[in-house]
Amino acid sequence: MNVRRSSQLTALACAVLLVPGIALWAGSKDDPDPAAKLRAGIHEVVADPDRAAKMLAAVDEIEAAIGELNSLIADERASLRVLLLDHGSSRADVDASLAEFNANHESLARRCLTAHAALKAQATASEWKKLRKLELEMMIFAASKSLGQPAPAGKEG
Amino acid sequence: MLAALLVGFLVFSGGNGFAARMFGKDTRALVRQVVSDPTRAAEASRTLELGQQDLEAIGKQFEKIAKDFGATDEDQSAGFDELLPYMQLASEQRRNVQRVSVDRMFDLREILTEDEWNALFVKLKDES
Repeated sequence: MNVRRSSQLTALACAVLLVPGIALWAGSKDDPDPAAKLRAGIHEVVADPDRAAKMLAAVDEIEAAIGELNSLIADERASLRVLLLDHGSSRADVDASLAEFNANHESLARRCLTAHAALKAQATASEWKKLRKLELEMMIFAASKSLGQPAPAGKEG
Repeated sequence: MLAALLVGFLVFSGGNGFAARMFGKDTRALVRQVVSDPTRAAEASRTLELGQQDLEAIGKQFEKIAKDFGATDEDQSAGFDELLPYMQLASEQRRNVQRVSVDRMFDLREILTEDEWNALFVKLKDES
């Protein structure tokens, strides 16, 4: 595994494991739409309509979870900001806020991971060979955005 | 803004950029500006430095989890059951990061007076 591929996989792992990062990307109107490219790729390479539908549903599920994460993150950021700015806030308040956030976060991360696994499982080896790159680009794009780094513009792989 | 940086780091966990900024030398310099007592200023600076060290250590652990996940995921036959342990490990690391970050933040808050705390936030906002 070369360095670039390794860093891509790491980014993918970050994106899947740290799903909230993806939420910064979801819903943006000005950015490229790697999810649309993935959908187009599924239409292009998966001839079986039944499997294609299941794969598209998996992409939909990832996007739906991302939408929920947007709300979750916005709410948590707001509540934590208030707590941390308040010199008199208690540790218990902060911990409670984070515990609730983590529970919801992990539930949504699990949904994303399930959808990711479903996407892989529906594809044949040759299909996945073509689609994996598109999913990877979607995840790298999301991870890059979440970490405040420029989204990759070039072709990968 | 310190709170915003901490919030960002807590929420996005793997964001080393957040950690670097929050526990970086710039924040330490600002602490020295707002805390006139040199003893407390040094203590506060040391707290931020320790926070940086904590997060660097956790970051390395997280990086390993992410790489292992990537390597496993490369195999198409690796499904949810094979990938879930990595997600659980990452979640555990995220909670560790949160705990450590909040520990250091509260340590810092105990060192600073309320006025100094507020002044630090103002300066951090100006710097950002």
